[in-house]
Amino acid sequence: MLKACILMIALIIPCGYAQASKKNSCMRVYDRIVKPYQKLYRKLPKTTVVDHELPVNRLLVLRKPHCEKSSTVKAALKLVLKALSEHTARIGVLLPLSGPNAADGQAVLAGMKTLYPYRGIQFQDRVIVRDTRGFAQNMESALAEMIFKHQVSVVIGGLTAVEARPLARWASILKTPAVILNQKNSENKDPNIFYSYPSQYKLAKTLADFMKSKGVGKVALLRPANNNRSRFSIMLDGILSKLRINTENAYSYNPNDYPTLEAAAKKVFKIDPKERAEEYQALVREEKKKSLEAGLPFKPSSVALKPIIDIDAIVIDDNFRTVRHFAKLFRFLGVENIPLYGPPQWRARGLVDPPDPFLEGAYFVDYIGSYQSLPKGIAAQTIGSPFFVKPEQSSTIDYMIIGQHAVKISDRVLSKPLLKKRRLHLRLQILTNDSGPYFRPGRIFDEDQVTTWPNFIFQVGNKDISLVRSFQRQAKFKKPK
Amino acid sequence: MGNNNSKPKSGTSRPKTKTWIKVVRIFMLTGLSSTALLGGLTVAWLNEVGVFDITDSQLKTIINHKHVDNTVVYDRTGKKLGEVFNKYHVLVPIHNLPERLKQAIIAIEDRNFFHHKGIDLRGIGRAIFARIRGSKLKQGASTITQQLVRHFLLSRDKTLERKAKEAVLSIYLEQKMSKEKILELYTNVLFLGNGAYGVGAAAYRYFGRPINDLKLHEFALIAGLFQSPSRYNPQNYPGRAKKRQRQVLRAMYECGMITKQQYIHAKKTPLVYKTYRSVNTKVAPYFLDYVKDQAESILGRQILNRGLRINTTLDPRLQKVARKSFQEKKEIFQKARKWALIPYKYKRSNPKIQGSLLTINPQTGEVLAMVGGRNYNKSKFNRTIQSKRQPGSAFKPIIYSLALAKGMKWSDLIYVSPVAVNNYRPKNFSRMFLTETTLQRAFFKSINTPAVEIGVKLGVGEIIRHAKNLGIRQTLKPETGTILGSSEVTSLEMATAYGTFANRGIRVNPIAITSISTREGKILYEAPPPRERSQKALSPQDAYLMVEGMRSVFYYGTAASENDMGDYAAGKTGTSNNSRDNWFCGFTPNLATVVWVGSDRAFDFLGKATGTSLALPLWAHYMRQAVRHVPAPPFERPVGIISKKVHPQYGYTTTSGLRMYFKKGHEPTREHSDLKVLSETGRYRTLFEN
Repeated sequence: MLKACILMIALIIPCGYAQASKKNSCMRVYDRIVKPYQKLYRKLPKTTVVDHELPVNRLLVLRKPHCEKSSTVKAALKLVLKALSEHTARIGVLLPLSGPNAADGQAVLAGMKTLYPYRGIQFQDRVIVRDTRGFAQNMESALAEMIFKHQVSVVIGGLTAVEARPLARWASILKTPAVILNQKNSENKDPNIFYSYPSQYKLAKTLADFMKSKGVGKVALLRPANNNRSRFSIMLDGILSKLRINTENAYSYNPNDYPTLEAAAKKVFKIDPKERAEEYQALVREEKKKSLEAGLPFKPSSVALKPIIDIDAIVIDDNFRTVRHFAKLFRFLGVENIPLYGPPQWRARGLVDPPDPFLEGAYFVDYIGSYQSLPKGIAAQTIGSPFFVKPEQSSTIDYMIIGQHAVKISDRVLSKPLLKKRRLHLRLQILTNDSGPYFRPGRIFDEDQVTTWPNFIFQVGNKDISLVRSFQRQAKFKKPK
Repeated sequence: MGNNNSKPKSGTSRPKTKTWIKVVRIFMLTGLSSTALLGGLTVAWLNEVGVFDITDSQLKTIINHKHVDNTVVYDRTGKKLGEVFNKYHVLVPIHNLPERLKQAIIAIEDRNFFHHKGIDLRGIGRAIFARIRGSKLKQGASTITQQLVRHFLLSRDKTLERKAKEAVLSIYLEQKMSKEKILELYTNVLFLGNGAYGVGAAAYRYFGRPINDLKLHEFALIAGLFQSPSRYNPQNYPGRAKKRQRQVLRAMYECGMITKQQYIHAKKTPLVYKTYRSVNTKVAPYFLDYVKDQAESILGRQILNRGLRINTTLDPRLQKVARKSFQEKKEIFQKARKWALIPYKYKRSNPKIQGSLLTINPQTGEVLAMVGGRNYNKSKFNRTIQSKRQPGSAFKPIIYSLALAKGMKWSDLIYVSPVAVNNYRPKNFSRMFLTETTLQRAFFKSINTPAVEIGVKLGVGEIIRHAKNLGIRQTLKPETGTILGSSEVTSLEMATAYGTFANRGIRVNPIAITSISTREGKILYEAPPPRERSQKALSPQDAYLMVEGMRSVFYYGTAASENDMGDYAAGKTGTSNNSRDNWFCGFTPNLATVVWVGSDRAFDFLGKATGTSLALPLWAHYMRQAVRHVPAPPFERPVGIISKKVHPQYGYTTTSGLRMYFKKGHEPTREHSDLKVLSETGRYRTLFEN
């Protein structure tokens, strides 16, 4: 009797526990998944008609009590699982096709279209595009449509920072794979969030390694005061420090204000009459004497402190135009020559046309090598050299590559056998590049789920630039769970 | 004396007779011996003072005297422009001498002129008698011949010795020269006051008219001047002059030369004097000075009073317009005066703002108009020739023309940043940096640093050689500042250089004199034709590129305030350091004109003072009127020049661009611009900015 009682208890208690665990699990699922789905649904435009029989839409009727009753818990969990698994093998693209970022969005879209027909599928059969106008609110509405109406498999979007952050958040909570068309801005890693942008960090790392190989020991950084535009040098600063390359203070300037440029350059070369007062006064006396001897009036502008060059190189984190003006400014300050390094924005025909001897020998890093070796379907109109593209295309090509790359990744994830939606991210993680002219074979995403782009180091010549080094960092592979 | 032959009477009457005779004899003897002694003494004295040594050879000065005449300068139309002299002469040959004047002179000075042989004893007697009688009408005892002799050979001392010599020489002269010649010499040589020598000059100086236009009452005044030009100068002593004139008229009447009616009429006719104004200061005084210097340099001797006839290149219409422009645009100088930073030590002297204007014909090098300053009477310093000033940016066409000739083109792109060459750090006028420009935009906006960059690239030595080819004669300093026009030049040189651009690259050395001849028509000098004064300094294509570049200064640049002139003119502003010199140099195909505004002491001006604000308005005002007289046809485009529309800032070809000109085969090919993309979007390769 006792034994029977003990057995009964032993059987009943785990069952009770199991029941309780299921309920808890259901509650968690409800809070973490169902509720956000319901929340997103509220962002759906009211005119949008959805099929309420679809599992994802049936989530909308789930309520907390469903997880409280043992009879409904199982069904609820089953429904959630189904909603997270079913998809239509379509790609939802959310882009700013109008508004201030329309040109960029359009370029991305154009890049996507270059892929199709791909494996026998037409663009319109695979991709659903919605305009976000560059606003988070619009993006969320479009995302809701993608989820509840089109049941897309993968979402591509986040071209602007204001869209990228909420899209990543939604992708994470909706358990829907998203390819973000932007840089990764947080250390957090979510299995459903992938970044198809070239990594600015990796570019900085490539340049830093190259500088190290060139024996650079001390560097001055010149960057625009606008933080958004000087991320490269901020990252570079950190990497250089790790490489034990001494970085001077970074000197900021306003790229549209000449005096700020001059002030920054003078700081780099320590041209400060107050700090070097004695030397300056001696020069003034000398010039006065010369003027007196020549019978000419003394001109204070003829007195100039010589630059103190105690750095091995200068990094100018700006576009070619500012670089050209800096080069002239350095020369004006009496600097005959100093190695210069820079980011991809240097890359323009205008950097070398008309040529400036001061820039000869400078280096910059880029994610595009030859414009004649771009991903298939993207044609660049080069001018004079395979390394320069028609200026109007300079940004467009970048976005087209990104667009094509993102949609290609997404499309390949949907290859047969078609995986359940909740498992698509696993395929994404191990996806490898096709052999192509641009991306080299190997894992597409690195351990941070950021695409690995090729990096190139260019050297500035007389009227052209030359490719010095190119490589693609391979991802450190980790076994997917 | 018949008594001497009669028989002597008896005893008592004989002694009486003897006594009388004796007395007479004594007297006679005494008289004779005294006369003899006096005669002897006179002869001895005459011998002593050298009267007997006088020979006709001493008259050579008079006989060989060549008539002095002013050197006359004519403008290009053959109209008298002025005279060059130190003594004002206007030769009137005897056959041109008005009869009435002749009569008036003879009546008052020497009534028996045509009858005596050098001295007039009757005249002397009449003069003595007139004096004794106390006549108001004083008559001279000296004949015209004597006066002439005195004028040429003797002093004016009132001594017997001089009188004796005068008489002897006069007699001799009468034997050697005709009465007409003596009268001609007399009427042309003697000083008649107010700087005039001779009746011809006096006619101009007192009445402002040629001698043949004068009337009886005026002749009488001139005739009266011979006795004492200063005493009877009508401008200083009109009362005395009138009185003297009446004396002359009365003398004429007494001599029967005029009727009583004529005498009364002439006496009553008021004398209207025209205040003398030298023709030299009226039309083109600075030009006349220049011509004088040039003529002396050509002939290698003084030209004053040599009676030369100098034909010049001056265009009276343009000269008039030029002078008028200075009057009509007075406000420019008033404005400049306000902007002048006059040092305290000069403020009291109230220094004047000066200006100059010079026009040449680019094809012939002829100087057509010249205004060397605002007021010749106050300052004779010719600022177009003598003044050497810094041309500032007006020198840039010399740099750019060399750059274009060496292969650069208007569409070439330049990043405008500060430039330092050794210790030379030029500033841009608007302190414009951190921008980009094409060569042409840098040129028409007159941005300094691109010019320095180009100049340094070309080399200062090469620039100096090129400037010389274009017509700059001054020694330019072999230093960087020369690129921005810190070496001094003259307006004439600038006009020559700019004329070279207008003349398809052919420099024609400027001239002001076309020919010099004697009064008699003997040619002493003739200017070589333009072909012989020319030298090729630029190809026609390069010259044309500069023409178009300088037209764009009107359309888009520092002369845009006169932009309509770009249709027929081209030019460049220039402002030296601290606006000390303000220039506008420009041209049409037929006229090259340089205007300068500044101060002789090179005062600084406020920044408002520029070639644009001071020189350009004067230049434009003048040229607008000048082209009515000398048409401005379109600039002729040589073969091998094509035009393309180019973005003025970034240098790429675009249909909405600015029309630029290029040598065929050198046209820009760039159709794209990274800078354009950057300027339109404000970003470049924006991937990491999203």
